[in-house]
Amino acid sequence: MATAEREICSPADRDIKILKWKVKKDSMIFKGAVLALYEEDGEETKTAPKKLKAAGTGIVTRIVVEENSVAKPGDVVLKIQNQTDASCSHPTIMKDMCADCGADLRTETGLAGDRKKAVSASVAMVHSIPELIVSQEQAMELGREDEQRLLRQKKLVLLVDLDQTLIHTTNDNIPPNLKDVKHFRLWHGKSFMWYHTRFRPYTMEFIETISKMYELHICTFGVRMYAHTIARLLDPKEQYFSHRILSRDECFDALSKTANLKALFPCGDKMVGIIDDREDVWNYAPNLVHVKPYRFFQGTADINAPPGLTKSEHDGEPIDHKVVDHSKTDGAAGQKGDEYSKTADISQEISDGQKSDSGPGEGVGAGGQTGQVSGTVAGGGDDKCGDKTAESLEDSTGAQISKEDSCCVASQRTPGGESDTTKAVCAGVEGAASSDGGAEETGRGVESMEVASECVDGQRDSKEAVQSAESSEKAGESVENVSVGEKKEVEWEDEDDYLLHLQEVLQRVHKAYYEMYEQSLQNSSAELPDLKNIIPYVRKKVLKGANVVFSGMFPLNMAAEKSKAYVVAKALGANIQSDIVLNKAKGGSDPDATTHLVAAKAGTGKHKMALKVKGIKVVSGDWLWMCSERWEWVSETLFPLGSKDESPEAGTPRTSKGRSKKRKSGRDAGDGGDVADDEAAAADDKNATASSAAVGKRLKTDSSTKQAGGKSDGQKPSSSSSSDSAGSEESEAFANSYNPLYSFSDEDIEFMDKEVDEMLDEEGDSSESDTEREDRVRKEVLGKEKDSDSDSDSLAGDFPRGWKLRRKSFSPQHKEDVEEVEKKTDVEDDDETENELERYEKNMAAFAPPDSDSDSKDNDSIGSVDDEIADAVEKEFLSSL
Amino acid sequence: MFYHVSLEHDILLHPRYFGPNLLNIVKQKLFTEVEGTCTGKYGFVIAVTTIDNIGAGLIQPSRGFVVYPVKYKAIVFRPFKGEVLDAVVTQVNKVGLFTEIGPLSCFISRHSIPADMEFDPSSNPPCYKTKDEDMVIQEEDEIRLKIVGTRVDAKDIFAIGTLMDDFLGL
Repeated sequence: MATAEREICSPADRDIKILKWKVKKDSMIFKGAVLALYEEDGEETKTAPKKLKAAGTGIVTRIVVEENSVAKPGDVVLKIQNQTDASCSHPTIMKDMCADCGADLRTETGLAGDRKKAVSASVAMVHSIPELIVSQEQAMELGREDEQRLLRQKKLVLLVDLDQTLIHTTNDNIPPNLKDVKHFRLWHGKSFMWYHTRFRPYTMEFIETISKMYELHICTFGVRMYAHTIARLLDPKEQYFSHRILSRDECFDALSKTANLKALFPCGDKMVGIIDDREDVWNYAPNLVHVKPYRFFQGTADINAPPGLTKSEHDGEPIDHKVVDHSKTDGAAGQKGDEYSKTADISQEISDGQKSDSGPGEGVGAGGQTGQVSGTVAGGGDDKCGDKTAESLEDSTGAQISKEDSCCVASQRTPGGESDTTKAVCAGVEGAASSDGGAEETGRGVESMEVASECVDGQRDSKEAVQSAESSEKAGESVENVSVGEKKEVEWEDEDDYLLHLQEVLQRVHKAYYEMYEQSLQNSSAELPDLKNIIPYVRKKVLKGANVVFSGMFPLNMAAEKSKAYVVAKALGANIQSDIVLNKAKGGSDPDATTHLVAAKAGTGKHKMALKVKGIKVVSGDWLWMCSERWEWVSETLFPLGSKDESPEAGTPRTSKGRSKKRKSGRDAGDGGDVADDEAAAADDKNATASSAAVGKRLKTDSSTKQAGGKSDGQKPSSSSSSDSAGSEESEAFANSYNPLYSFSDEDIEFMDKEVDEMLDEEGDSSESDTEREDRVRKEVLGKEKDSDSDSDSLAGDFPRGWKLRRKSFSPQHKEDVEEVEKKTDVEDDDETENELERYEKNMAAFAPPDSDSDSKDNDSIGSVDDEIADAVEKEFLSSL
Repeated sequence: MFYHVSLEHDILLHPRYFGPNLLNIVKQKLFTEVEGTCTGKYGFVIAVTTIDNIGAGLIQPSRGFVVYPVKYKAIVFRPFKGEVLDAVVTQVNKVGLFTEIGPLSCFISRHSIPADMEFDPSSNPPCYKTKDEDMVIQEEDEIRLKIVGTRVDAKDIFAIGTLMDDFLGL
């Protein structure tokens, strides 16, 4: 900085007394500006004080003569710095103009940013105005002020992502009457584009609560208009986010948000926490709280994902929305009827799948058929049932409580049920209600129940019944009006309650930070605590004290330390042991003793050992994922290992994960159009959401699944696997969502087992006599005609070319071989075998190009191990021909 | 500063407008095309006052469009350095104030705000205020400022202002 200082001397030839300075240090003065008021010595005081005016522009560097003191003639009263380009350091620049001196810093005819010379200003401190830059010193000063203010207010900074964290937006066409979906149009280069935005449930509450502890900043990859529009929707009064909105337009780096941190927080990001659904854009920063991505609209992921970094894991997965009934008590009957029919239409698919899944019980099977015939008819039938239920519920005092139970019971009811069955059902409802007496149920709870109990229609009915019992009188009308297509708001069900957990996490973080801060104040250490340490510290406390042993959780060809499970457990503060450590301290608790066995499947050596030892909790991998998602020590009882998978015949409880995986793989292989596939996937998805929603209401979920399971068991023993498979799919889907790699391990193992079996036991003995098997196969095939939905998808997958070839080569000729192989798999899993045998029978009958076999489920094997083995087996077969 | 100046503008008209209403359409089109625009030389065109002359329309060869040279008078707003203006505060942040003087946006750095006024981000909306809060500048307030610099682009003008002078501020 040039020091061309000028001195302003006393203007008069007498002593003057400065009455008041009109300028301060560092203030900018212009020619003719009043600098001070003074009076000349000896002059009458009644005349107005004279004004000292500036002769030129400049910046005040020092006031030499204080107010009310006297300066001699010729004394220097003020020092100013000459106002030239050289003198002003241009600490603040807006659009290439110095905001302090007004000098134009741009070259003549230059473009924006073409400055005559380099300037010190370089930091874009204001989120939404990248043109405004300040010098590093200014930035530090401002940053310090911010920091002090935050500490005074006991706040922290939280950078909030929008897409898939707080909201989900789509450009796709969606029903225009969806409830709680905001629609807006933005100019998109050449035309307007519609955006449909849905807030994550509890967003408003979340923002409200969190804003008391955090200064909220929006940090999104959406364009500026989008970000600001969403911000106005979220925060119409601008009280939470104000202007702290950073959008794609202001991002320095198209792929990373980290670059902006330095500019926004020049004093360091010690007080900055981040919530985002993607870790990569933050370069896996330790102060990031990873949020479970929120998806509401099918087929749309993050519309503002950075180019080339779109997550594709689950984008293709359909989301199955159920319509939530929200009709007002005074709603017209016609509208209600309309809604019923809509529900029936939408949920038809689901109920079909599930009903046929749950076995050909008489009433239920019929119900499935009815549903298939016509959604409208089913809706009409529903109406009747629902209203009858309503009548009975009117009497029962525990109507509110029994909602969930009634929905379970209702799942047993056929849409076209007779009145006497309905009565029976109602009795069941009341009984169940009393058993579940103390339960306080929220609407959300009901929704999750709805999923768990796999009954849409009945649930809706019962809910409706509770909401508006008087609708029963209008039953007749509503049935008539079913076909009347009235426009009405439709509400899609949404069980996501992640923000409640996130809120709790952030509260913990805030508390931990200020505890640390108090401590550091007492220790009089100047260092501020750093959120980059606090957040991992808080996370580490989640599973503190847990000694975890993994079994079957990582692929063999992977170092344990690199596997997701290991990293996650470590981050949660669990102590990871390679093998089970027994409790040596008698009576007391040995800190080293293993507390948890996290196993991918039952029957491993570690599992057997753990079962023998008291005090080791055996949980499935989902327990770990759930803990890490919520930062909570989730109750282990919710994630028992393999308990759902045991079917009576299965000696080894092979999980049916393979099956659900297979469905997915079928779709992945490019056969997404297949109806059955979609259905299966829908079921998967639904169950996944159910699992995530369930924990809050864990007891109820448990009881309801038990109920559902028990009932389907009662109907037909052979169908018991249906509810089981639903349960395991539930867990599977979540594991997938967390770590796609992990989900392969199970199948890897299974696949390898099978291949080995095939190779070694071609002449192997069978555990079942031929006649027995033949009988059973026949039964399966015949039985399956009703409920083949669940299997058809696995038939539909595309296969790598090699598989087809191989199958063609051996299936007609080596019938015996194939049977042996299948007997092998019989032992492993009954479910699996049903499908295979059935398919095999079909193959034989048609003598057509065989399309699937035991291999069909392997078509998604991507592991190198798989491929190697597959090749080897193929060669073996070809050479044997 | 406001000026009443004579300006010229060419109106390009589609042949479908050729008809009895032609000249009215030319006038309409002039208003929509000219008002609210900004030229570096004259500043913002606020309003067309009179249309002096609509010249002979010239049909464009091979296009069919016709071009009318229009002479009109308009009120223009051209900010100058040193000018004192009333502005509306649009945004307040820790670096300074953003204001609007009609179509002109103007930034006031925090160094050009009287030093006894401090930024208070915690109030809603954020504001600059004196310690005793007898003077508070927040969004939507009207303040008087002096322009210390202008950035004149082809299509826009941007100004830097200050509050450091007599009778400036609220």
